Amino acid sequence: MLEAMELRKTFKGKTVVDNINLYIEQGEAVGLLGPNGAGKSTTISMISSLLYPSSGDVRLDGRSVLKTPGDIRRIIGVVPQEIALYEKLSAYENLRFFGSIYKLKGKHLTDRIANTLELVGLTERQHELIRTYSGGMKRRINIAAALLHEPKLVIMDEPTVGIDPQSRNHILDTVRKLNREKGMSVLYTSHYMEEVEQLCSRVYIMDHGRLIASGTKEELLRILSGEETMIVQLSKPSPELLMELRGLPFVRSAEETEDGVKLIVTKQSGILTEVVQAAERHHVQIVQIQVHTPSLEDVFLHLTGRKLRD
Amino acid sequence: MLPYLKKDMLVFWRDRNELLVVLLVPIVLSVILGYALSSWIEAGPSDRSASIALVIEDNEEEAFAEFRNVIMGFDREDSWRANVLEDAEVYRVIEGLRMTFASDEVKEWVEVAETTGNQAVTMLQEKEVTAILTIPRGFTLQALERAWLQEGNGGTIMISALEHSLKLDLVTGVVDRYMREANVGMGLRYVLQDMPGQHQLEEGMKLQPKGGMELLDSVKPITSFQYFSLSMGMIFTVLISATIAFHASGEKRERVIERIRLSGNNPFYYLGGKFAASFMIAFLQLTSVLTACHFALGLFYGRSVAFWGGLAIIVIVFSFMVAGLAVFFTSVMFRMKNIDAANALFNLLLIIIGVIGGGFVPLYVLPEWLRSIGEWTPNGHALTMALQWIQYEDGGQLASKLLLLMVYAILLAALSAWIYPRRGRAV
Ligand SMILES: Nc1ncnc2c1ncn2[C@@H]1O[C@H](COP(=O)(O)OP(=O)(O)OP(=O)(O)O)[C@@H](O)[C@H]1O
Ligand SMILES: [Mg+2]
Repeated sequence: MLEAMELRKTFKGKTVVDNINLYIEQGEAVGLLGPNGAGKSTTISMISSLLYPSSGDVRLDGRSVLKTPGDIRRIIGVVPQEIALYEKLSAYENLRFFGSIYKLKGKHLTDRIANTLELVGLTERQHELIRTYSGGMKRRINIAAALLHEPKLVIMDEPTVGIDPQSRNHILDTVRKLNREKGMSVLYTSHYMEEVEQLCSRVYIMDHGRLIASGTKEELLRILSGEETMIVQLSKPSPELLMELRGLPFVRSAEETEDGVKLIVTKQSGILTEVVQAAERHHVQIVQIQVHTPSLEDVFLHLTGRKLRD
Repeated sequence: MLPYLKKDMLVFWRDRNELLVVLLVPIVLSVILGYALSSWIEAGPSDRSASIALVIEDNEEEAFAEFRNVIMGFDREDSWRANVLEDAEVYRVIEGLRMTFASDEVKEWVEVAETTGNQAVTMLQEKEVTAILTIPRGFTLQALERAWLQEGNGGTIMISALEHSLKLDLVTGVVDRYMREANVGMGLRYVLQDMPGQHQLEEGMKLQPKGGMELLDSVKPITSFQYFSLSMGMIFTVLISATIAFHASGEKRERVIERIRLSGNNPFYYLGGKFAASFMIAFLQLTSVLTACHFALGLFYGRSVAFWGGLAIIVIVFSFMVAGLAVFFTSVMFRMKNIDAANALFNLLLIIIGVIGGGFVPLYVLPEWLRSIGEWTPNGHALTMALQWIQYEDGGQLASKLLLLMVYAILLAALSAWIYPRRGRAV
């Protein structure tokens, strides 16, 4: 349905999005994952026609929409990263305005407002001013405003950032409902791996403006199929031990945690013994060792050497 | 466009406490400044540059001799004749006028040069004098006849000038006041002409309005309350344009504008909504201030329906200009990187044109060069226009000035549409 081809954006000679290729099929939920400053919002802005790419193309059903932004605007709903609402107006008044600029009128408009309010669970408080809303409630109205005109594709830029778990769950449920029950396509941006794992069938991972991996969850996990994650709880922190572990040939990455270290290691025998011996050499006791198959979070760590959230 | 208008009005309405302040401040200021600075407006400019040429074509002695003959010719008792002549003897109108101009409070700022008609015209053309005051032949006699015999229309003093100006108004005010005090037998004829021909002045009383010339029977002086109600009302109304741009900058900052762009609407709906909202708010604001001041201070009591109609049209066209300014600022703001700088710039600009346009202090206290710039600012132009309407109720003059104000409004709106980030392209 929608395709971005070799998108590139340069601000004052600085390339912030570089050669991005991605596509979304009808009814699909696709995740776009990356740490702060990776270029997610910039990519989304180009796809949704708000930003003109320095090069590359955006195609809708095979046709370029760069020169005809109206075509793409008609079918998408965008949930921006910032709360884009009139603080001085009530939720209802906001929705009424945003609905009417999509040419919704009369009963249909009223119905759509009631519908989206119910979807985000704020029917009771619709007449209060946005200014008086909590962060989570604002986020929910921010989403509602993008859904009024029943878009085929909703593009969400970190819709759950900085809110309480209850609102977050509500939003995730809403997105899932839209995708599974209404068949709406979703492009979901986040730096929460769990959210993307839960919602999306396919994931793109971005860092420093580039795509570093993409595919279904299983495909991504396969990147680390020859590896496993080892969480080692130690009696005391030891930077020297960490250094030594990093030097071991089978350790792909090692990182300090609250009470120990986390290792990604190549699957082979004898690893445990070597780790235990290393600990002894540094007079550190191992309290506990857990070994399990890697998560997407680990994949990200592996690919970038960084955690998703710094 | 309607949703945009509704939304902008609603956003304004949510700030109604602010709105109330913006409404009350100009009213309060008009009252305070009206009292405090009444001498500024009503006593005239402090620079002594107002000068007039006084042309006396009449001869008072001859007039009295003639009047005596007229009285003697009446078939009335001798005591009546004696009384009239005795009373009339002290009724020296020309002398009275001379004394008025020589009085301390007037001579401080009006310089009077008595001269001949020809000389006076030269002086006027050379801009040495602001106006020519002509006492035509037969003036005294006509005044006397009117006063004691109720015959004729009385004598008429004539003021000729090249253009309307505040100084001229002040001179006119002095003559007007003098005649009111003298109370009988005189009228004031006010002649404004592009280039007074010599023969016309020499003909004196026979001068009749011709093409290109305007003739008014009386000029109403401006009260300080009128001045400040208008200037304050207008300046605070102009500020609405910056407020609208400020609201638009909120839409940019909070990314609402991106939602609006995503709707695929023609961007001119957005600007059109802003224009309409600014117009309505400006209109309501200025109307409320003037109405409130009218009832509180008796601004325009006893004025004709035509006067009120003209004032209403002034308010309407002025509100259009404010709306033009609002959308112009809005577009400029969208073009500027730094939103705060943009807003500061607009307010600064408004304060500057407010000051040089006479919004805060009377125009004539400003230096000449600044004043001539000030009269070209949209608000200064509007203020001058309104003040002249109060004084002269001259429809033709009003129309041409309104046209210019309308041109300002259209120009600003067109400019705004032109510089607003282009449609279609996803900038
Ligand atoms: N208008 C702009 N001018 C210059 N640089 C920009 C502009 N917009 C974004 N950038 C830069 O581009 C980079 C990517 O920004 P972007 O907002 O796309 O990241 P992101 O992945 O959405 O990050 P976050 O998770 O924090 O939202 C950043 O380094 C940012 O500073
Ligand atoms: Mg972002």
